[in-house]
Amino acid sequence: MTYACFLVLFLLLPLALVSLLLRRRLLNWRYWLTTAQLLLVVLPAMALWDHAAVVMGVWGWTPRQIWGLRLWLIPLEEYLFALLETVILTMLMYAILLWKSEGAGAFGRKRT
Amino acid sequence: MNHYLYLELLLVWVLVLALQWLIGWKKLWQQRQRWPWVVLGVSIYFSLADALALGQHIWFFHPAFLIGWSVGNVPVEELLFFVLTTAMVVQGFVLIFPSEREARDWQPVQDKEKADKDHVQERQGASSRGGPFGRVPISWAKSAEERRAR
Repeated sequence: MTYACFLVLFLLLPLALVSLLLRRRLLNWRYWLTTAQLLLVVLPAMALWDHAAVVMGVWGWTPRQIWGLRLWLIPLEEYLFALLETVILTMLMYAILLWKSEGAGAFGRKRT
Repeated sequence: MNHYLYLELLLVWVLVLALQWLIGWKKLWQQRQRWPWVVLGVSIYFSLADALALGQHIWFFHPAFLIGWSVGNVPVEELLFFVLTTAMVVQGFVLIFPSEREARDWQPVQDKEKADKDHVQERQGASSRGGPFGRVPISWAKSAEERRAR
């Protein structure tokens, strides 16, 4: 299995599921602003830390299973992992927030 | 060879978590019934996914830098990594996502009067069951009328 395949199966798919659950409720700029702010911190922090670990030889990737594009020593897929993981987490938090404020019964229903 | 290297690298994230608690311990403690479940659930999920990725050899670890304990084929450092990083993102979200009062102040002036009115009604109405996250921005909370109708 390639890293890209892993991303689709374990990150993109669940993200699509949560998006489907939230649908119109995702059209909320406050949510996206918060997520963007977090990404601005998460991505550079991850890159620095990950790069340092790779330089020291703590972990690596099988070249055959990645695209081969790297920023520093980190495969592009790793950035996508961090990005998708962050969005999944904020979306779940946002879903919980809405779920609690709308009441459990109302969550599945479309709002009028 | 340093078997504690990965563990030491994780200290960076522990420091970030500590910083978040230092800045926003009140908000994080208030909302303790929500976010820890997301952290727990998502880190278990990613640990399972990680087991598969390690099995498929998408990424791998140099054993010389690990303490050597693992659950299945997943090193404990990796489990810790998922707990720490998901906690960091989730706590960050709790800390910077605007509360109801902040969101109200951002609304356009013409909406503000209505928002204030709704806010008062909400407080008189069902707001007490809201709990930690109960005070959500007016724009996506159900209106007070709708709540009363239910």
